[in-house]
Amino acid sequence: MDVDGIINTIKRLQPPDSLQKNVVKAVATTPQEYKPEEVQPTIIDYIWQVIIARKIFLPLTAAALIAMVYVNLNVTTVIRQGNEQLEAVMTTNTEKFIRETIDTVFNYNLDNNVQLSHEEEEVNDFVSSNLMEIYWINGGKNA
Amino acid sequence: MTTGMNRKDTLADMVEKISDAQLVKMAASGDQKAFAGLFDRYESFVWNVTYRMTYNSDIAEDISQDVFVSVWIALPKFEGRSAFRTWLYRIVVNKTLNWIKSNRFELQYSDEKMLKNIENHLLANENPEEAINIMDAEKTLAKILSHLVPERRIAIILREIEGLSYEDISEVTLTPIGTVRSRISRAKDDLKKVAIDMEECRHGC
Repeated sequence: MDVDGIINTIKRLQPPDSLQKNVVKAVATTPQEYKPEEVQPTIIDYIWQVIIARKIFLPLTAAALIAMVYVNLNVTTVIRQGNEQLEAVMTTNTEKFIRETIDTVFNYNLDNNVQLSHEEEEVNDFVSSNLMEIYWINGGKNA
Repeated sequence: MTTGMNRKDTLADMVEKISDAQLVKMAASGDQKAFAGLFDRYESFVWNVTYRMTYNSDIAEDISQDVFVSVWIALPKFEGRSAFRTWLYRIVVNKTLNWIKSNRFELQYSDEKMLKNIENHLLANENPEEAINIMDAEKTLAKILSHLVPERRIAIILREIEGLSYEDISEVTLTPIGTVRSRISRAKDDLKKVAIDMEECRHGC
């Protein structure tokens, strides 16, 4: 039998049933790959793509460094200014506190135009020193 | 009233009417039934090519399964630049040739197990009288194919047994059409020589 005769005689072979069973089983447990476009790109991905595509690493790094230095300087200034403002407020508060507490004690007697005796002066000193102590115990300026 | 068998037939008819492109689209979005439709259409081709490249049921089944699972995994990435059929055939050819190469597999025409495989296969699927004729032809084909290098063997299987055009084979094997033509021409010459030698041996060599 020549080659053409052989080829004409042979038939398509029937695949075994186990092939279908195994493929069905494998497909049921095998996840598919996703299309790249199905994963929504984030803005960061886009930026990176631009950076990579245009090879702008060096200028971008320089710009980032300058931005960092600028921001850092500004932050330092703001903090410093903020502290100064805070200190000013605290000073005002302290003065107000003293006026409203210690001065009241002193002014009471003064308003009543009474000459303080030595004992009364001692009491006043005692009261004012204790008020100051309470003030400092409670944190002083930072209270 | 519609019986289960009728329902099945109707479903099979419906699947038959759906184009490859539509089934691919559905299967690509995870529809396993659509993939089963594609499997039914191409199972025979995949099996016959892998079987005649190895003449071993177990190996052919492993490669075929690998082909279909690979297709399932990669389907969402299939962009349809070529026909699904061409893409699938390319996967079959690559998987089969890679398996043969990586396992240093050689067809042995004297392999009794191989010949028994063909016999069992045919007796299970054909009537006994016809099976004997087909079996003889298949055994002879297996013997003469074993004399070809895998690239020529697959070219001759695709062209002469599966009936693909030279253009299709060129596209599937990613080989220039001239190379395909010369490869098949040389393979045919080889087959004729082997067939003559075998005939002479039958009369005493």
